[in-house]
Amino acid sequence: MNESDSFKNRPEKEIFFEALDKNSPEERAAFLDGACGKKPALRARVEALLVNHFHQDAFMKKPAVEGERPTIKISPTSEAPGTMIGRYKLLELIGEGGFGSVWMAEQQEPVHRRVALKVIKPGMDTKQVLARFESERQALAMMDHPSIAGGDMRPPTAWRWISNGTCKTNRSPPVRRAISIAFRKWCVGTSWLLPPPAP
Amino acid sequence: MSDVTQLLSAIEAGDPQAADQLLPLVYEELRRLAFLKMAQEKPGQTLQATALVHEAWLRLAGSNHQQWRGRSHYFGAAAEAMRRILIDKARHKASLKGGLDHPLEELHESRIELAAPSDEILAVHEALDALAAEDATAAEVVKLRYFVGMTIPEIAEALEISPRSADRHWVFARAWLKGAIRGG
Repeated sequence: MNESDSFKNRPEKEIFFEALDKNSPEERAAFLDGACGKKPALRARVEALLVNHFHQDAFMKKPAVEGERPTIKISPTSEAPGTMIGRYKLLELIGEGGFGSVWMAEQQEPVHRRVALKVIKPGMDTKQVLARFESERQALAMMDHPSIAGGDMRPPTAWRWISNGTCKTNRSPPVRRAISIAFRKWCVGTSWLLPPPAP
Repeated sequence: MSDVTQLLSAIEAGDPQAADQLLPLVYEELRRLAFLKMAQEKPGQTLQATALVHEAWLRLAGSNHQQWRGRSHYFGAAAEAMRRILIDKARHKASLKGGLDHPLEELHESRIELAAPSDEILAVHEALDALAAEDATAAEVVKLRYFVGMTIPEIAEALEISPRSADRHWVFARAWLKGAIRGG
């Protein structure tokens, strides 16, 4: 936002601020004599602002809503390549949805292996979202195929990494989504069964 | 990308119609998020207006929210939405004086507690448009400080101005509004 062009009453406001910086009422009065010159209306407006400012009372002391609360900082999400989340090291951001992001990550223990890690966004770890993650995880756990992503983790949920698989999130119900992801993985995983494409 | 983020891009690109479409969308987003949040809170819990506005921003802008140049437009619209929600509540509260309390629990925004007297809130609301005509930024600062409960550093970040400037706008706006309301 441009700070300088947003108000018409520029002189009034500037004189008010400059007067605030003066150390004594005498100094302030002398400053106003010079700054307002022969404009009594301007001087009256600035003096009214000063009176209102210096007269301390309850007016607008408290916001209309309760202001005391832990501050939510506007800052970039902390996830970046190299970040450790529990026993997973983030390698590369693969995709993002409304509630979280999916990372290619490396599990550090008990075994080193590559996984797809679903990370829930700050503030999105509500009961509903966690429940959705859980039912998605359960649906996938029921299917067993080397090319079907499976996981046994609580959030952040880790999924077996399948190279060249795409991993998109959408808003369909969890089970349908899990099946669609599984089917896509299965298609990718079994594509070698198909005849090679015609040259 | 949500409709709101598309609109923010359009505003940044100079589309004048996009600004008009932003407020109802942000208003709906805040109501929707308030509803989601209240669904998981115990009865009697209240919502933090500031947290709500920030969280809606994090959801809308995703992990790119630091780069979004539309941030000040979003916070402007969100502050205006909060102002309308709170004015509805203050009006309702004022109309109930001496009467029976009416259960408003279905309206999730009513779970946002008013901390200032409702007659002061209504008076500030009515004088604010006149201030906006004189000094648009000062009025924006009032909306964020008074109707959303943000701190001066938060406002400076949201409006992309310096903290000192945000503080001065607030000092000026308070003195100005006091004069406008009390005839000083």
